[in-house]
Amino acid sequence: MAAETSVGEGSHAEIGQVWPRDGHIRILGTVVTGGTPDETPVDEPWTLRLTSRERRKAPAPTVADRIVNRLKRSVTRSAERTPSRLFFPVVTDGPHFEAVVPVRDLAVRDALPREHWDLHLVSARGGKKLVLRVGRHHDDLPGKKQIVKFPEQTEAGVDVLPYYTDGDHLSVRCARRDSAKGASA
Amino acid sequence: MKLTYLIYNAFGVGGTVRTVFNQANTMVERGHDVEIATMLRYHEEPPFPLDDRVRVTALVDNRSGSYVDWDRYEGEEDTSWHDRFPAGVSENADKRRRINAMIRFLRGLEGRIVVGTRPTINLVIAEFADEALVRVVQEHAGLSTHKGEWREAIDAAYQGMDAIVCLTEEDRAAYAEAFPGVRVERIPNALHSLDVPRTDFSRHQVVSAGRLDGNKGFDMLIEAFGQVVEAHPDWTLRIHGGGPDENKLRKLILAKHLYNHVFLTGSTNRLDDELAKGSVFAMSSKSEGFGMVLLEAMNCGLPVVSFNCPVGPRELVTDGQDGLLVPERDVDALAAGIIRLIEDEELRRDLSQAALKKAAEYGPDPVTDTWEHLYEALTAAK
Repeated sequence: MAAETSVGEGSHAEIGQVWPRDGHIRILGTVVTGGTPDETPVDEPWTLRLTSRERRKAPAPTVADRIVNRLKRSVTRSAERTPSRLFFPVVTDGPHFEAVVPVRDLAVRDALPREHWDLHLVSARGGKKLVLRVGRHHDDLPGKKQIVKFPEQTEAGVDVLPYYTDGDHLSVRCARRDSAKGASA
Repeated sequence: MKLTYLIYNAFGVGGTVRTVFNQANTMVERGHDVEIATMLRYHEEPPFPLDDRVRVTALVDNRSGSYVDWDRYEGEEDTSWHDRFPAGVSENADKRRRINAMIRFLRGLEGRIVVGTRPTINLVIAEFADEALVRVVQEHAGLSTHKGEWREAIDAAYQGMDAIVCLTEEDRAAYAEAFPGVRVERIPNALHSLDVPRTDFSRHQVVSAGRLDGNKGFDMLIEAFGQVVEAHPDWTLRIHGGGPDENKLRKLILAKHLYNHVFLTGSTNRLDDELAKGSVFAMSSKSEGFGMVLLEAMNCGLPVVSFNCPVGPRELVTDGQDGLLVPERDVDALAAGIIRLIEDEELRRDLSQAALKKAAEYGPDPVTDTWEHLYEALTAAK
């Protein structure tokens, strides 16, 4: 497997629009390298990767946990733990991309009380893996965390909210409705 | 000449603060002795550039977290003046402290021109500043906005002032009729500089700016922009400013699914830079005392479209020549005006050129000349 690497400074997936509505989060944007649109062919189709901060940080299960989990999995497949990375297809047209994340795919059975998913576009070029953070930096509007608010959608008791981080990257916050409400992303 | 401007809060973002600072900067630049006395001080730095030579006196300073009067007075509270003003002036301890500090400050002034910038201040000046001083009212509001006991108090107090200066011709006429014995002038707000960034029309961006409150009508602008987006989805709207209606406006943006197109960017202390990023300026105010930000947008070369408010924009903009005026509170007309400017690049450029010429009339030099002549005449008449 190729080593994970970004394609260098100034490379990212620049957001044009984010549409959180009708049970989906639709993201439209442009692949950018060195500050300009990049339509250089890639080895494999671009994929949108969502990485959970909390699941990555979860401590390794104890021996007892593993036995319990194995028992659960033997009873029902649905008890399988949600992986820390989720992947969604991306449609491209030259440097432009479009990805759709169904909200139900984030309203997982083992939803954590609060969970944050970071978005990357991933592919490979010349055998090197490409990992581009999804964000919006070319609109001369820094500090979007305070400026841009998206609507929240709820599925299976989980509130799903895309938001801009302090660095103007796009992430998605999921919060179980039965857990404490009101805290910010 | 020696000038003392009295202002409510020199450390809050607002149109009055900006225009008084502009006046103070240009007057001190011309060699005059200039002081700004602010009723409040909560912050270290003022929100707009202020020449170091302008003295700032905080009548009540709260930077440390506790109140400190300008003269460090800690004696008995003077309550003798309460019945001379509308009840609201003395309704709570904070207000009474500020008024008492101002009364002591005014009593100590000698040989200065005293300029009041809001009704409460003007009432206190009329009552407590020595009549030998030149006492000037800067009125930022129309006469009809003063109601009830305030109007009665103003009718009595302004009779004794040396001059009332209004921002618009319409206001000047109203005050002149109400105060036949007082000199009433119209001196518009000045731009702080004509040397500001200019739009290059490269961005598909409409801009607006102002306090996020009901009077600025940003809810109507957002509604109108919904129509703009349907016709021109590649255009966005940025509204610069903060205020009490922020959450309400954010909810409207969400409800209309305009979060990719309308941005509430918060307050900025680089307004000219932000205005110049736009290609069209839109004003949706229900009323304006003057419409300073409209003038500032024109100074950046922006073609403007504005509601035709009772006063303000209609004196700054000649419809079809240096901007567009649309019927007030008419959302469809505002949308149509913005779309017209978006679709007609030649019109944008023609209005831009004319707007720059209009803005030059409000440059610091011609407006400051007018102030100097007025102050000289008032001083000579004493």
